[in-house]
Amino acid sequence: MCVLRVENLRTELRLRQGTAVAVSDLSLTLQAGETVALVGESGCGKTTAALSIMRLLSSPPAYTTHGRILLRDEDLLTASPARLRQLRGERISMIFQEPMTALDPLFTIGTQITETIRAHRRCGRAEAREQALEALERVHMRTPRACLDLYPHQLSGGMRQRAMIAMALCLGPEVLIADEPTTALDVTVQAGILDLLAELRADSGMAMLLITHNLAVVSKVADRVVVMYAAEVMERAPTAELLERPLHPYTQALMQSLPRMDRSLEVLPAIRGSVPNLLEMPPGCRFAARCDLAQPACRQEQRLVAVADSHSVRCWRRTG
Amino acid sequence: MNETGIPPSGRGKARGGRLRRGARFLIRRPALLFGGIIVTIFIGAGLLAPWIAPYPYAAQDLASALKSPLSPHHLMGTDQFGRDLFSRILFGARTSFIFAFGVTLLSIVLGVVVGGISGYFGGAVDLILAAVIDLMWAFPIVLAAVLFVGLLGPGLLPAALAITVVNWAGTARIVRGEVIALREREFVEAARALGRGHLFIIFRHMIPNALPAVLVLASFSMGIAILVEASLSFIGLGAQPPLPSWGDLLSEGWEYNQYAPWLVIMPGVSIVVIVLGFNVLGDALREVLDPRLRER
Amino acid sequence: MRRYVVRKVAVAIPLLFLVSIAVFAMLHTGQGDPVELFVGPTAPQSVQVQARHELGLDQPLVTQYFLFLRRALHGDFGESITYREPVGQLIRDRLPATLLLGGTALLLSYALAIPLGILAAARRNTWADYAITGGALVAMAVPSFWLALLLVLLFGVHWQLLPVSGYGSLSTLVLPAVALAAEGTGLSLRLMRSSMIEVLRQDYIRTLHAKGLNRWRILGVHAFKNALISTITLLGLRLGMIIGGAIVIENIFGWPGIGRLLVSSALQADFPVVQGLTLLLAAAAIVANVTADILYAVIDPRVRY
Repeated sequence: MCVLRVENLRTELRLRQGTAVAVSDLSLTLQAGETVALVGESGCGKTTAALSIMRLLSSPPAYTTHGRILLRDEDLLTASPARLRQLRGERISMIFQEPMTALDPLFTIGTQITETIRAHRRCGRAEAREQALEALERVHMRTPRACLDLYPHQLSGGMRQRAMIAMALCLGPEVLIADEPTTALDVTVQAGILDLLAELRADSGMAMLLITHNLAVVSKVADRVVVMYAAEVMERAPTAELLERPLHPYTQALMQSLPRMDRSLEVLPAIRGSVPNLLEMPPGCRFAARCDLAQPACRQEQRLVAVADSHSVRCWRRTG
Repeated sequence: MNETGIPPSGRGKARGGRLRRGARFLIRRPALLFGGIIVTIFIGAGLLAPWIAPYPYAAQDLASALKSPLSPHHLMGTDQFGRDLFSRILFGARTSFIFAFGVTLLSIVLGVVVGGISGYFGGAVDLILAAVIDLMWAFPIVLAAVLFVGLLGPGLLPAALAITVVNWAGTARIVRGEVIALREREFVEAARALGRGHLFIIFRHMIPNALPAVLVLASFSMGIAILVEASLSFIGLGAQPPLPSWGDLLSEGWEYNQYAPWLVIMPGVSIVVIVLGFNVLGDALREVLDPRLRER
Repeated sequence: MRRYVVRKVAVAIPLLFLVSIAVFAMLHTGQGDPVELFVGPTAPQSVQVQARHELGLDQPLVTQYFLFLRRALHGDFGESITYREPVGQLIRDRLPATLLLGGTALLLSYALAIPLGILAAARRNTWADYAITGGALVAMAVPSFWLALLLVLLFGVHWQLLPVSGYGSLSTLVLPAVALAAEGTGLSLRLMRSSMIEVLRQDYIRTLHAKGLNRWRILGVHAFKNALISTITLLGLRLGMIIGGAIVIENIFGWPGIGRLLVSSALQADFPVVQGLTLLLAAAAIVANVTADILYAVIDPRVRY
């Protein structure tokens, strides 16, 4: 059952120097209980896409101009600000990359969780506190009761992230958008957070949109993958399929640049060139400048074409 | 903003030489231009007063007493003794400038040295100095001035001492903060490994980083010094006659406020404009220098 | 928290001692011979000797200092040369007036600065913002005594709306309070505005929106509290400005407070009064700073631990 459907989402950044399209024609679906990974390098638009879905971008300068964002049957793009406030935190939640700056340093963890609860439910202070405690227990916080009265700076990175997860999930949303939840953490702590997220999803049937640039995380956690580059979707496929048979030259290059323990390499291959300036986007395929397979025809507009069951690519060289 | 791949600077490369780029730089920042012009006029007026003032400071001309502004020979009018107000304001500017400059310079030098040493060496030295700095920087200047007046009698010297004693702490705070932030960086270790002495590291590497912030503070300090000098001179504790001072002009002019309000308005407006100029300049400097420091 | 408070207080005490030493020194390095000031330059030798003894001036300097200190701690600052009254009494008589003026000015200042600062931040880069910020900039450049003069000219002389001197009724309080408040209002306003802007850019504001919180709670509780930090930090400075400003303003409006007493005493070289007042005011300034520091720790938990 589809809990989130994004159709042809387009977000523009209107700046003094011009208008940059940060998210171009993004479509994806989330079924209950599944994890979809939105993958790409820094600057490809994945975070902007996530914020667009949550409607958290400030206009100016960002404007989401096209598309639909359907949370069940409701289009978030046409919803009123009051309705959006109701939905956020309760039906759709988001956690962020850097838990230290994402939490208000002047308020205790307990307060920050209970205020979320009391903003959406009619609840006494004591009752909200109990619920907050439960939320902290669910994320396996080590001393949950003590944690309620601690301030963010008193917690370690991993604990802060757990607190943020507790805060995001305390009302049992259907969709969780996780923006690089483990990037800022130590490798050992990362695994713990990922396991926690998997467990929470299994318990509640919640769907998760995972934003990341880390393919290792993707392989471990995601059911399906959407690969973005320079604001466009380049390829989408189920995870196993993508890892085994990456079709788009960009995806392939990404795979190749992963350090692997089973291959000995002299030099770790990197993708030559750099991401084009969003204000001066070349026509046609945006990856062409860095692609070894590029041909003159690549300067034509490319479309996302289905190649196999739920596997699509935006590259005429693959789709013919 | 680099999440979206948008270049940080503006349109392409600037055409034309340095002069053109400089001009464009200034025009984009009207505050900087405004502040800069006012401050320049002030400094010019102050330094050149003896040569550009139409009349000497104390020249009386009873026949032309109490003339209103824009009279034929008197741009801003005259007071009860026929003294030309414009000239007196110019000479007042001179006193203000020399006073404010001297005080600001001294407090900055003191503040930089003490702040640098305190921040760098840490430990007991820092504990004591930081405590002193913390408590001095917000001490009421006028009160300190009265204290010094009690010790030394009225005059510009106690006023100068009072401002310096408080202002150096403000500078020291900033420098100390900057030095502490830089202390842990690797280049300090590297410099020590190369055999560089402590003082060298402090002055060659750390203080230049604090200078932009100090410069901003200096601009504001000038404004404060001018205001304090005027206030003290007004109530009689600052510049003593016959030393020219805006505060003095105001206290004398006040007696004739009914007949010659310009005697009160003109010097006051001068003070406001000049201090405003320094404040605006300080603000603009902060904007210009800050982003380069922080690299957000 | 307790350690923090103790630390701050422990550091303030030596400074208080330093100030007391400076104040004490005033009598002995200042202008003129204190004995002469007391009994007049033409008094016969025997009277001078007796006065010297009574004033304790024939004792070694250090002893005199400790005597002075001990008396000071009991509120005894000697007798005013001009008024021939105990200094303590003089101060006690005039302190309420200054407290009234200063307190009113401070409240007025914050009542104006905080809302306008928030408004300017919320309406950033609009005409409202430019007007408010411009006004604040000008206010920071206006000498408080000159503003006082202008206010007197306008409201007192020209329009005859408000009294320009005297003490006792609400109307006499208005002009001096406004003149005194103006000096620091611009500063606090701009500070509130810039910290509000800075706060609203922070990541946690985005998180708060993502939680679906009410806009007013985000602004009024979270953003406000965070922005308040820097304003509190300046509370000590503001109180210092009020103290300094009161000295000048009271003189202009003939407000019977300690500021006026201080200036007249300084000009007449009435050392006991100047000593007592300076010590009192300096102590007040230091206490204000420590209080501001403590308040800061109350609001921002990161400082305490």
